[in-house]
Amino acid sequence: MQSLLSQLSLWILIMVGVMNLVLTVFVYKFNHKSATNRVFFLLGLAMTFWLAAMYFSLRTYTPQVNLWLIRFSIFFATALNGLFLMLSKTVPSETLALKGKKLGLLTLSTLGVMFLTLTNFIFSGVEVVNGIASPIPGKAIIIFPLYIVITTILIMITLWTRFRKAEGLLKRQLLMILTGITLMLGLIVVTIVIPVMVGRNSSFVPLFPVYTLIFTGMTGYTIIRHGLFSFKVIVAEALVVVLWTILFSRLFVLRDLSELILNGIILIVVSIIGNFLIKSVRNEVAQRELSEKLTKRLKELDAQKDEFISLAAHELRAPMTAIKGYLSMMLDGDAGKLSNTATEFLKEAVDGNDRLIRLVNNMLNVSRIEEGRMVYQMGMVDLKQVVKRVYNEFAVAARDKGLKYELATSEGLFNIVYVDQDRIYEVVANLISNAIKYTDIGLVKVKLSMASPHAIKLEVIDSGRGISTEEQKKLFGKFVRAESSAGKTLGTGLGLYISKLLIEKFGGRIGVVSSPGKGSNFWFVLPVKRSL
Amino acid sequence: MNTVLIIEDDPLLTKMYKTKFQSEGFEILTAEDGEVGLKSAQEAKPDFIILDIMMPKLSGIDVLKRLRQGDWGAGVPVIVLSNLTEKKEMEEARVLGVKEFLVKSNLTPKDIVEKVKGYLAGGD
Repeated sequence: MQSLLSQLSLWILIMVGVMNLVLTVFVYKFNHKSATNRVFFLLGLAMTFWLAAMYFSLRTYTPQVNLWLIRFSIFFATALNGLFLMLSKTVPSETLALKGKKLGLLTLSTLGVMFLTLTNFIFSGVEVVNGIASPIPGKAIIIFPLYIVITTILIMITLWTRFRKAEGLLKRQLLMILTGITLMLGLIVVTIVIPVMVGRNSSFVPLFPVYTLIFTGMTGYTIIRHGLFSFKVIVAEALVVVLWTILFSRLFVLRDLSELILNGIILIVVSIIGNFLIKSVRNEVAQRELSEKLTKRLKELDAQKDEFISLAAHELRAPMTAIKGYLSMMLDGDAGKLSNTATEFLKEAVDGNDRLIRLVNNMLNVSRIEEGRMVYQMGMVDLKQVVKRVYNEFAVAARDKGLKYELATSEGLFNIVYVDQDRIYEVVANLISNAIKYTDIGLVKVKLSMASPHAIKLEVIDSGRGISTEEQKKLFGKFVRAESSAGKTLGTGLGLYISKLLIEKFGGRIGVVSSPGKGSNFWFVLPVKRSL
Repeated sequence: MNTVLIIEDDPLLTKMYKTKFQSEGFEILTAEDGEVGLKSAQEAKPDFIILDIMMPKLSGIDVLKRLRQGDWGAGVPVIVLSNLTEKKEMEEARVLGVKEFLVKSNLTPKDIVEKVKGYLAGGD
């Protein structure tokens, strides 16, 4: 283990040293104005020097040289922890998180300990044990591990509290760094710092560069990849990087020419394919995130639209009630005797206003029905009576258009249904008013019959332009309007939609039989109450 | 002559109902918010109360609650007028005891007068 590690350790050191440096410089170049990137750069520099010092301190030179190498390694280790702490508070922000007194305290204590490491107080000398130079602790030896442990704890606390409070992207970034640092520092403290300080055991020291790579890699990645922070992307990239690294480093180890060439070819292939893989995974993730964002926005807009409609309808009701009231009072005779013409005009106004009220009610009710906030006053209702009333209400409108207007009720009807009287009135009114509205010549016929012994059927037949199968599919949808023969779309598109919701709520079915040029038959079926 | 108290915050509608009721031979008292309405009710003790739901200061339901706590208030007939049929309000009104819960825009003033007459004549 010992000799294998030390054989590999130069390779490991060089590779890791280079990677650390490259990563750090890359991050700095990426955004050299950001405080985070700058601290990371200093960290990278300190780490490179630390790695070098640590490596060389393992080699045997004269005891004096070894002593200084060891001192430099803890010198840079101190700097590292100080910079770590700074980074943990600042990342990923562009400005330093520590200011004033706290910044001063951190800087002073770090520089202070760094100074002490170069003196006799921490390490007073070395002794050579089993070919490895081990340091002799000085009088104030405790200061160094104390500093390391305190700063490490502070780093953990900072990252943990920030992680707990964070949300979304920041949370994932902090998790990444937290994991990287925890792994690295944990491994170092457990396998290097403690054994060296307490047990004078330096056997794991050669592994330190690898530990640093965990941190540098994860943190550097976090700082750069603000955007796409998905697990899939990370895994794809890590896979390719690891594969590539292994293949690359093998180039230095293989002796056989043919193996070397093969390895080189595989390396190139992996680079190309890996690149494509990473690109496509990134694309996929980006698409998904975009569509999530859009869906969220759509839902927001939908809710806003419904809220607006509710608010508008609510505001409109008081003035409409007033108009309805005064018109009715005039027709009651409360304003004195009226001429016939005045009465006629007023009735037209009443019709118009009632239509307005129905429209506003529809707008107000649609979201309430959909969300189940609608209150129904259910009861036994004589459907025949309701149909007659609606039929009479629209007689004038039909006559004005010159349409043939008929009502046919079969004999022996069981016409009691369990519904909300006002709502069923609305549905019948919607069907009949539609028929009249969309028919310019010919006939509107209202028919009431038994669909079966237990169900009553209302049909509103017109000789209008008819509806194509295409349009029929969408007819009962929200905000869908059919074109009149004049090519204009009329209405708000809510009438049939609400009618469908209501009829189905009452346990019935609604539909249309129609074809272009042959008129339409709008029908609904409701279960009847036969017991008395 | 029967007295009807109309508690409604929209003056446009109050005036309309008042006109109709007066022409039908009722004496009318009006109040433009819940607080004034409650006070008027307790002082004047009308024969019937028309109560709007959505009002500033004290909502119709709150007025009804407090009204029903008093001896006289517990028995006075009330019709609730609203712009909406909200489940919660309807249920609360029903529990507190109202003759009817009506939606304003569906009815003419005459309809309301007829209903009040009906209840006062002993119908339920």
